[in-house]
Amino acid sequence: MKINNFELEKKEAAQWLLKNDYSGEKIYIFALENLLQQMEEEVFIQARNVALLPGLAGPVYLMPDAHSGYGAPIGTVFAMKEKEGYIAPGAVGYDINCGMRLILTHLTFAEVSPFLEKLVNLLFEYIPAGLGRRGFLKINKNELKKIAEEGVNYLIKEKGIGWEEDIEKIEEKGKILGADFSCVSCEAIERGISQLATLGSGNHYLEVQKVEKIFDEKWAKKLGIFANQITIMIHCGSRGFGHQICSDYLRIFEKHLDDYKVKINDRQLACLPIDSTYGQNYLKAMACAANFAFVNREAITYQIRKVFEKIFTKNISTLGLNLVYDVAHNIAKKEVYKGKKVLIHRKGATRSYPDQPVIIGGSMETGSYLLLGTKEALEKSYGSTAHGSGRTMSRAKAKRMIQGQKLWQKMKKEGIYVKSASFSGLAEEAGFAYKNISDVVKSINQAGLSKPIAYFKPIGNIKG
Amino acid sequence: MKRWQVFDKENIADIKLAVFGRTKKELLQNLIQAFTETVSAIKKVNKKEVIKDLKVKGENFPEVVFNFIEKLIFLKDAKFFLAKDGIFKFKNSELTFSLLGQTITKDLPIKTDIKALAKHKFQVKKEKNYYKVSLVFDI
Repeated sequence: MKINNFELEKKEAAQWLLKNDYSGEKIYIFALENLLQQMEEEVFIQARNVALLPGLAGPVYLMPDAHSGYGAPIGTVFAMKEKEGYIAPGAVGYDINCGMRLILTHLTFAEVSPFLEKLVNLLFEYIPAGLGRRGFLKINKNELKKIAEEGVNYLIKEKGIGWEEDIEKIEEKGKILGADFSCVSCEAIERGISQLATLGSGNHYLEVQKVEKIFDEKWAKKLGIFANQITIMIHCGSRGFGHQICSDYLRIFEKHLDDYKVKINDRQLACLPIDSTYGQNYLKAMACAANFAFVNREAITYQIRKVFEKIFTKNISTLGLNLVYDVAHNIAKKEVYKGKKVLIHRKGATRSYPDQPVIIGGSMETGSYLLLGTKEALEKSYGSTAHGSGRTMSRAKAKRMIQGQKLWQKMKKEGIYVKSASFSGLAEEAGFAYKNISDVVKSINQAGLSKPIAYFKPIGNIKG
Repeated sequence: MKRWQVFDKENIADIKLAVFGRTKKELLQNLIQAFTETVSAIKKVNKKEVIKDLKVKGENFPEVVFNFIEKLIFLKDAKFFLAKDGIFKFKNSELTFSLLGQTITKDLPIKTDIKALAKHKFQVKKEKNYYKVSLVFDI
């Protein structure tokens, strides 16, 4: 099959091989044919640039929600050799540890529905979204250091914010090892202090959802999920702290490419040896940003619990608000596959280990999925799967197609109450600007990368 | 002459722009305008505050421009400041500048946030009688 001048060969169900017309590693794409057809040419060009990076330990994988990014497409997974491998900050992404978190309430749709607008309005008040709003957590540089180096553990045990039982339900227990605050710039520190406990903007959101469909009764029951239950989903990351760290190290890496005789096709893919001082420093700073993001989502969860207590005037144990899981989709981590330690880069891709919950966030109009990681993913995709819907339309085009206010009214009629910091930003995130989330889930299910447990329909949303 | 142009068929998750200027100073001025218009509405931003003695360095003009834009992002996030205008002074590969603008307040319309400037596709070109910067903002 030929798409955008690239030849593809079908290997298995929802798995394609990009025909090799270059000297790099193989590229596999997990997607149903209709999703493949929607991928822009730039996706294939960028994937080919990734496959030509030095130090790769094996193939490059693209997920069904892949779309063009910078350097690497969003939806890319690859592994670097532990010793001779390279680290590429741009292939982790600006928003280090951008990720998803799913929280369950004990409440049903019927119980929440009469209070929905009040609930969403108060969530918007308690959890700053968009530009120019500070979070409730006022911290100094020393506290930021502890957050960055110790992660969620510090927030819960030292600051008393969050629940101890949450820790077990966060990827890496909310702390990526090796974080060293001395590798973080003053600019990143300033951006971090001003943005902790905030949601951000763009495609980031906090959503109130209803359990619409259950695919796997056994696992749903095991995780405490039932029909018509109200759940909360958070999508956000390390805010300006992570963005600044990525920008800082891209600048440093680019300056030293010649020192290590690295040739790249895109400046955004600047990479240096993992064991170089710069490589090590980036990994230490990246871990700081990843921990910041885990803390950010835990702090937001703390606010969500307060809002629910306030609105429903019930004890928190009656309301639930327990964490199902918190998982990153922009990160580099040392993991072991087939007995070999490698540095996995996941940019817009979620870890999918056997029996691990996988959260795939859809557009604000179409809903989201909870899935389960599989053993097959370990063999096929370095234990990775998709992360979301993936855009198919530019932000400008989405805004030309619908006005933010009209979209807001349309969604309200459909039973989704939105509180947004910007109508313009809302229009950019319209459902039609994204791929069909169900096709993404079908793709990863057919490819064996993760199995669906439940589908959640949005009923309330706060956005930046 | 166009001050800037948005390309909406590329980098669909973000924003690709080309910004123009007949001189280096005009180019920086238009970069401020394009930046602030992307985030808010330039007409609504007031020049009521000044940040003086800002500096960026670079090995060449494109690097100075890149670092200048990164400074605008930093000031927006860390100081909640949006610029409307600038006063620039070049000395070799160092740019000293002051920014006029305002702190982001609730009454300022917000369209979107610029979180980073990508290295990907970033280019500064000197044409016959103008400068052109091609850039992608991470949104």
